[in-house]
Parts: sequence; C-alpha cells; structure tokens
Amino acid sequence: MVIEMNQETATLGKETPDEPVIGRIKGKTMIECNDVSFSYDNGKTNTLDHISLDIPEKQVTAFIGPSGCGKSTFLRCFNRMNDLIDSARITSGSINIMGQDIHAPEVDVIELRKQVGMVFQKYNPFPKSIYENVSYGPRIQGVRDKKELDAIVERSLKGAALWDEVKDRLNSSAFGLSGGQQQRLCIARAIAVQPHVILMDEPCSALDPIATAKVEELIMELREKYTIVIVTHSMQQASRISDNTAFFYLGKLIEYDTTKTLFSTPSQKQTEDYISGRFG
Amino acid sequence: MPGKHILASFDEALTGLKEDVLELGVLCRSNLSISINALLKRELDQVAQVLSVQDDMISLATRIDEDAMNLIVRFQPVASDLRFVLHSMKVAANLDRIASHVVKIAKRTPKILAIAEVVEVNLLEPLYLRADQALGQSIVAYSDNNPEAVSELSEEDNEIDKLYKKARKTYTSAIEDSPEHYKELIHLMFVARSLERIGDHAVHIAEILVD
Repeated sequence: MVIEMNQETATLGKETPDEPVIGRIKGKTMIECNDVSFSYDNGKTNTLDHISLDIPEKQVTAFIGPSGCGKSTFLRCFNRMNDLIDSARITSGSINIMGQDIHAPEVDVIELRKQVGMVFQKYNPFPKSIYENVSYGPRIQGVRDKKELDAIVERSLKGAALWDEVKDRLNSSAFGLSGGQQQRLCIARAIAVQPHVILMDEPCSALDPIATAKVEELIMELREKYTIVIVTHSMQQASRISDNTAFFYLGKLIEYDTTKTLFSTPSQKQTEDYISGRFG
Repeated sequence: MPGKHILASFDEALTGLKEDVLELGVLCRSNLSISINALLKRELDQVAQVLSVQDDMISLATRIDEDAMNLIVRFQPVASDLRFVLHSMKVAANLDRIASHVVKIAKRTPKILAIAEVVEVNLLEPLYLRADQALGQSIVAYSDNNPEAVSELSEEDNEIDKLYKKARKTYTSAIEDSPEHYKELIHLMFVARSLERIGDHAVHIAEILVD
C-alpha cells in the first residue's frame, strides 16, 4: 500500500495494513528507505520488516513505538552503526541519503558518519576539555589552523545554545558540566563537522524537565539547518517538536504522517491505541 | 468501542466527565418540563422547584469545565480522547445556555400567572414538545457520539422555527387586538423565544459532534 503523504493530509486507509506501509512524501527527501529489512542474526529472523519511508529535508521526524519495536535499530541503519555488530545486516532493500545508496561499495562509512551525526540517550562527552570535545572531529579531518578551530568551536557551541554558558571555561573538563549541558556539548560535537543529518536516540530521557526543554528548544532551532530524526518514548515530546511521526510495532511501520494528523486523527487503530495509552 | 486505557484513572476521568454532561442534560430537560407545566397548568408552586436547582445547574456546568481542564493537564489526551473532551466542554456550554433559558421561563411564569389567562398560552405546548424532543435527541446523540443526528435535528429545528414564527405572529396580532393583555402576551412571546433558542442549542450540540 502506497501512501502519498503531504504536509496537510493523512491518506492511509482505516484498516490495519496487511501489506507493508510505504510512506512517501511530496517535497525534498533527505533519506529514502526502500523495502528495508534488517536482521541481527545473519538473516534468520528479521528485526525490521520491509520498511519504506522518506525522511524530508530540514524537518524533525520522530520514531515512536513500544520497546523492542525496532525504532532505534532503524535509526542506527542510517549511519550504519549496526555494522559494528558482526551478525547484523540489512537483508533487503536500500537506504539512500541525498540520492546515494549508503551501502554501495564506494561509500566511506567514516565519511557517512560525519554526514549523519548521532546523539545518544546517555550523553557521552570525551574525557577531555569542552574545547577539545568540539574540535576533535574537525582536527582529525585535517583542520590544523588554530583560528579556524576556534571559529568552529564557537560556531558549534553557539549552534548548540551552549556558548554563553561555557565560553569562559572552554579548557575545563566536559565532565564538569551538568547533564543537560553535556548533552548539548554532544550536539555541538556532532554539528562541528557540519553534518546534513542528526540522529537522536532518546536524547532527553536522562535529563530533568528543564534540561529537556532546553534540548527541545535547541532541536527546534537546529531543524532550520539540519535534517533531524529522533527516537522518543515520549508521545508528548514527539507531538511538541516533530513535523512528522512514524509509528512502529514489532519491526513494521504501521503509520507515518504529519505529527498533527497522526496525533489528532490517526488512521490505524493500532496507532490510536498506542498513542492513547490503550496498549504499550 | 475503543478499549480501556492502561491507566484506569484515565478511563474513570473520561467516564466521570461524560456522566456529568449527561446529568446536566437531564437536569435541563426535567426542569424545562416543570417550568412549562407550571405555566400551562397554572401551578405556581412548581416554579420554586426550578429556581431552587438553578445554582446546581450552574455549579455542574462549572465543574464540567474544571474536570475537562484537569483531564487535559493530567493525561494529555490525544486523538479521539481529546476530541471527546473538547466536545464535552462545548456541549456543556450549550446546555448551560439551555439552563439559562429554563430559568428565564420559570422566572416569567409567576408574572404570567398573576395576569388573567389568555388562550394564546396554548401555542406554547407544541413548541415546547418539539424543543423537548430536540433536546432529548441531542443528549442521546452526545451519549452515543453520533454525528449523524445533526440532519434529523436540523429538520426538528426547522419545525421549531415555524412554530415560533407562528406564535410570534399570533402574539403580535393579539397585542394589537387586545392591548389590555399586552404584558402577558409579551411574556409569552419571550417564553416562545426561549423555547426556540433551546431548539437552536440542541442542533448546535449535534453539530459539535461532526468533526
């Protein structure tokens, strides 16, 4: 079943889909997923089952679903983090980012992970200074000029809404920052290498409400420059900050639409039951 | 019929909200009946009964608003749950207006009964029966979440409008013919107006259910 999703309407049928849902959008696509299946055990069983959807450019797309539904697994496919697991692989389909198949032989996975940055649930700054955390990526890419590095660090920390809080202590340890600040430092580290996409796997789940609000506000600002895909367990967060939402269940894409439509008039009963708290 | 929420208190809050709205609807309907019967049968003592529950109806409407707000704050309902809460608030607002008209009728009745009876009071009964039927249908439509009731209620309201126009025309002519009864006839015209407005609010309740 193919759904033409535009920014105004949901067009899925009312019945729970028997065949894989395909979420296509009108407008510019950053990530195109075609019939993607994924396995952790060399293809014996599929954790992701024939997922097709488009992630639009410079918008926030949220993945929601119960624990174990495959949303984080799917997220990690976009920068091939799953390659780090020996028995894990895509078993069907393809993922194209900016028109390029990310599993093509000529793709440099390190370059891919520069273009598709990632922020994790538990903030993980390097055991270095604030400055060194942000400058690390550009330095290993060959930037040596101090002035240029200074400019990158300032730009990135400003982009992460952290500059004013740390500009007078750039040489102090990153571990001296609060949890929310450390997460924003991780975001600054990701944007220092000027990615096109930022993946966020439950970026606020370890943060208090105020730190969460600051990170959410930052996400709303970042989407003007970056395509953001966020996995979240909080329906309220998804409805607050995302433009589009995809609901997953047992490795399948159940529904994908504008956030406004999915949370007000979902077309699938499973989606309505999940977002209403009738099952989890 | 949607399944139960995992959080039982969510279901309890939704059920409580619905029960309050239905209670307000029932109060409106029963007090409308008492008010009109007091007028038609010239039984003044029944008026006091309606006026004694006036504050109860206002309190119930206020409580419905508070319950709905608390529901939204506590449970952040979405989709059909959110629509239900918003519908309940709007329906309650219409029932609150209906309650106001019921009280107005009750307050006019002693003034009408203090004056000699005029035969034109009989025009009110068919108008009341239609308005009462529309109100009953609208309450059922809310209870069943039936947006399709709007077409039937629109037809009912058209009939109410016709009866109201007939009554108004008759009262206007009667004032010209019998100016000594102008006070009572004007009161009756206002009662007819309240019944016509009750019909309008009943249609509004059904329209609210149409997404």
